[in-house]
Amino acid sequence: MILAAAVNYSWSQAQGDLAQVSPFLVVTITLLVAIIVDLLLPAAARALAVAGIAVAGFLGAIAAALLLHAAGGHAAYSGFATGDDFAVFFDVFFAVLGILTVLVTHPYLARRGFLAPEFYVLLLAATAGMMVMGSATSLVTVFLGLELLSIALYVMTGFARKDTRSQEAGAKYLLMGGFASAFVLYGMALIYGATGSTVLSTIAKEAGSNSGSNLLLLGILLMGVGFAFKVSAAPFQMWTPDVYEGAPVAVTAFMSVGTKAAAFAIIIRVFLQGLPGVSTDWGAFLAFVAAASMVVGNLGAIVQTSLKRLLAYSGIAQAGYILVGLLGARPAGQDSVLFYLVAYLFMNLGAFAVLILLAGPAADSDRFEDLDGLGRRNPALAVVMTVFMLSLAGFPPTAGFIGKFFLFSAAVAGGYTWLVVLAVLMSVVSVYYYFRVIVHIWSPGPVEERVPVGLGPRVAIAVSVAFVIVLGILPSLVLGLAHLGAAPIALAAGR
Amino acid sequence: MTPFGLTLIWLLPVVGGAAVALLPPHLAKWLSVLVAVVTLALAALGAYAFNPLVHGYQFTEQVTWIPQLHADYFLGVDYISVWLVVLNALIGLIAVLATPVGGGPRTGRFLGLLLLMEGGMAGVFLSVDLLLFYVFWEAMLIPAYFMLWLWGEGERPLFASLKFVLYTLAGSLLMLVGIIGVFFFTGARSFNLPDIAAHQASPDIQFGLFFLFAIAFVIKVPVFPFHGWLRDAYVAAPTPMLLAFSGVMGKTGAYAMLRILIPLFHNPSLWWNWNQVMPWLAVAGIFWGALMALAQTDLKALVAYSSLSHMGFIVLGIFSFNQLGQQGAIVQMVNHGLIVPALFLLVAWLVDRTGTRDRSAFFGLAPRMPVLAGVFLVVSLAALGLPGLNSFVGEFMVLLGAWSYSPVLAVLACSGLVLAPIYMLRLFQGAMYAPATGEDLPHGHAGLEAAGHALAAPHNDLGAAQLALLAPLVALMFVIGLYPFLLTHLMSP
Repeated sequence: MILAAAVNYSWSQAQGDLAQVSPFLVVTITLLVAIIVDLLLPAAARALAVAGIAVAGFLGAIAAALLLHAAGGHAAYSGFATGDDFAVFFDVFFAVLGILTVLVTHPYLARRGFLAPEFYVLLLAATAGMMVMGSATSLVTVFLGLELLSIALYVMTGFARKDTRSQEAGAKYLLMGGFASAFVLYGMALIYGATGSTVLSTIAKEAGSNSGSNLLLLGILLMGVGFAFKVSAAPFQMWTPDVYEGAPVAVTAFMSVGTKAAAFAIIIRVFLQGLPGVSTDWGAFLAFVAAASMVVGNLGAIVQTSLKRLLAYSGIAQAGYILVGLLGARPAGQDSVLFYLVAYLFMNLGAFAVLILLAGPAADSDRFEDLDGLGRRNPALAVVMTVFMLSLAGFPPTAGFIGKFFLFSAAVAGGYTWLVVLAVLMSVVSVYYYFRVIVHIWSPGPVEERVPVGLGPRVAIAVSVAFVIVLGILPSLVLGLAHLGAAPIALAAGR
Repeated sequence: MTPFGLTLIWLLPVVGGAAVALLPPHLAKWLSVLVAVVTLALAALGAYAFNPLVHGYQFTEQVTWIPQLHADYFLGVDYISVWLVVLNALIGLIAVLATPVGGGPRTGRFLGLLLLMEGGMAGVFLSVDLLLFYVFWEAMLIPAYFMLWLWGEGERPLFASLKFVLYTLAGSLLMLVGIIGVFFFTGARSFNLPDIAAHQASPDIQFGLFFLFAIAFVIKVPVFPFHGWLRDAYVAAPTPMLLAFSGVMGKTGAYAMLRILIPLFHNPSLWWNWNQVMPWLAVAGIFWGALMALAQTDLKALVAYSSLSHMGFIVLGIFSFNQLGQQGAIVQMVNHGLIVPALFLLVAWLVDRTGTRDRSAFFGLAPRMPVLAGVFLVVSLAALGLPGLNSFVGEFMVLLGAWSYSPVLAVLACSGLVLAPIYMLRLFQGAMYAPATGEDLPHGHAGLEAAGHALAAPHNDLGAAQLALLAPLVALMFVIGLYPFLLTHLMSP
């Protein structure tokens, strides 16, 4: 049957399908252009040129995504991918993440002495993978995106070639990530066995009719374990602190937001769109994972001495909060997850951007003491870092607060009040370690030269802090966009 | 009032505070005084224009804020909040005036934080929408934390500030769950307080929601036994911040009880009825605070515990469930907001002049500082509830209200009142008139010598500027004491 379809696949059909994945296409073409430009230009000009091309490519992807939205995206490739608003939302999300990453990364790479155009090529590849995950509507495409993202990230993690810690982190990530991929693949195989299809809409129909199948449940469990791995949710979080600590901080920044958002995109897609009929089964699993993540992440963060590890544990806890919202009522739960991811993008990337600026030529500065005296050296930087920490801790009037509010209210509406009570109690714990960062920022410290802030990081940080505050005060516009983005899921789940 | 009068009352200090933080000390001081004066004028204008015959909120401003959640930017004042808004602005001005300019560039930041906190507290008193209320409630914590920590006194300001933040956050995050719960479980589907009050949930749901809200408020007030943060925070707080901290921030908790707990949860009972638990906690706090005040040697700690005792009366009045008791509580909130800052100011000046906070190190100050002694006497008498001064009125109303609710409670509270003169007068007499002996000094004669050395400094009674700071507070103590109708006439409905 597949063969017959391939024979009849006309050029106009191909055009229509390609149009549905146009943002991905733009990024991929940019990637190829970047490689060729890299070969043609003299060594001195390469990195900057490729960085510029990458930014242009991301802007082009945003434009393509908006055009796609205007034209009205729909399913493509026989249901393997889609250009719906959910995909468009994540295309724009990842493109913005890419732009911000390039802006904050470029001076850092130069200072650390591993400025190479390959970095941006890998960044484009990873972003392309994320975009595939955003628009995947079949288990096969989900896996395709997951691997494209992961393989690029393995290399990026080990990008500091002379730094053994970076090498170790890369190897560790590769091994652990390979494990997770195996879990995902195994789970997918079982689901295919139980339902006879990899396309989510077909799975939804089949899973609804034979919901008691053990094969299906085992498949869901294995796949869920693999996904939990990718969002670094407990008890599958072990790799996160080590990899975050070892990887160059710019990579950690990109990975902490990107991997998490992409993995949540596929979790929403697969579980809510593909398996709504068995939601009580995976709901219990995700509730357990959420509770474990909040406890492990928040308690683990208290004792950290490295800022990267602290943010890793904070990321585990944040994954727990997001899962709480994901379990919430429909459609408010999905809206709140998308909204929170936007908030998380700006507050987490902003916090990492400050760490990136602090990095020295020999190594990243990720001890708490490296922040001492920042309030005197760079008052503006200290204020924005404080804002990012307050937002991560969920203080109003910041994006972190209103995002958490949306997550928690959706969960209460969905009947998960106990999980919300656990979440707020754990939030109190989190205030302790986020405030530890603030304490070091405003403590007296060595009077050093102030940290130079280049134009790129300046723009990225300004945009981030502006979003963190504006989203906290006037959230309705972005919440509306999140609602738009989550609408296809609600529609599919409602059928 | 101007159409945006209420918004200005919180927005002006916030914007002004942000601007002030960037200015050099002297300019910062002038601008912050200007901002505080204009804010006070706006608040006073609001109280003047307030119509006591209108039932419900006045000067309301309602704009859709987050349509997806039915949350509005909804401000208004009623007879509960109108005087607290004025009190906040008044104490804010005095706090700004009490800030010394000598701290270099840090001065501007401190003044900025002070104004931010004032703006946040104004927002708490003005909000009629629960979500908006919560935003202000949490936001006022951030400037308080920074002032407590970075400008705090003593050895462990960081510990005190973090303890305060974690304590209050534990409560307020549970309140956040409560806010979400009110939205869904009462069937109101709104954060608008009048709407929610119209939807009374079943008693068992009220029981749970009451707990989630009340835990935030009893920590903020604080009500016994949730006062663990109080001593450390009050002792560590820098004086100008302490004025607003002790005078107004505790009131936000009591105000919230009156604004949220009383109208929203008429019958919070499942295993027991919360409404019957609260007055007992209040009376326990009256005793506990007074007894602890008796045991303190540190002046700031003594005032802190006396404050705990007095807040017990306010809570008792609120939970006496009659108009008299609740009006008394409101009057007492204002009174307490005048007396405690005045006490802390006097204590701070005493400490400045003698270099110690140890009560037993003071003696015979009155002949050397007659003005300070005189003012101290008036404020002490007001604090212990002498008729003719303001506190008497409020406490009397509270006790009358409590009597009609439960005579036992009223009698107990009344006997708690007896303890106030003991610790207040003992403090006053000891510091001002006791003859110099080395016996009650902790370090014997060495301590006496140290204290004597400090007191041997040239005559330094209160100056005109310091008197001017206290004057409005003391004047209002007399005015309210002699003419309480000024406050109560706005509370007729």
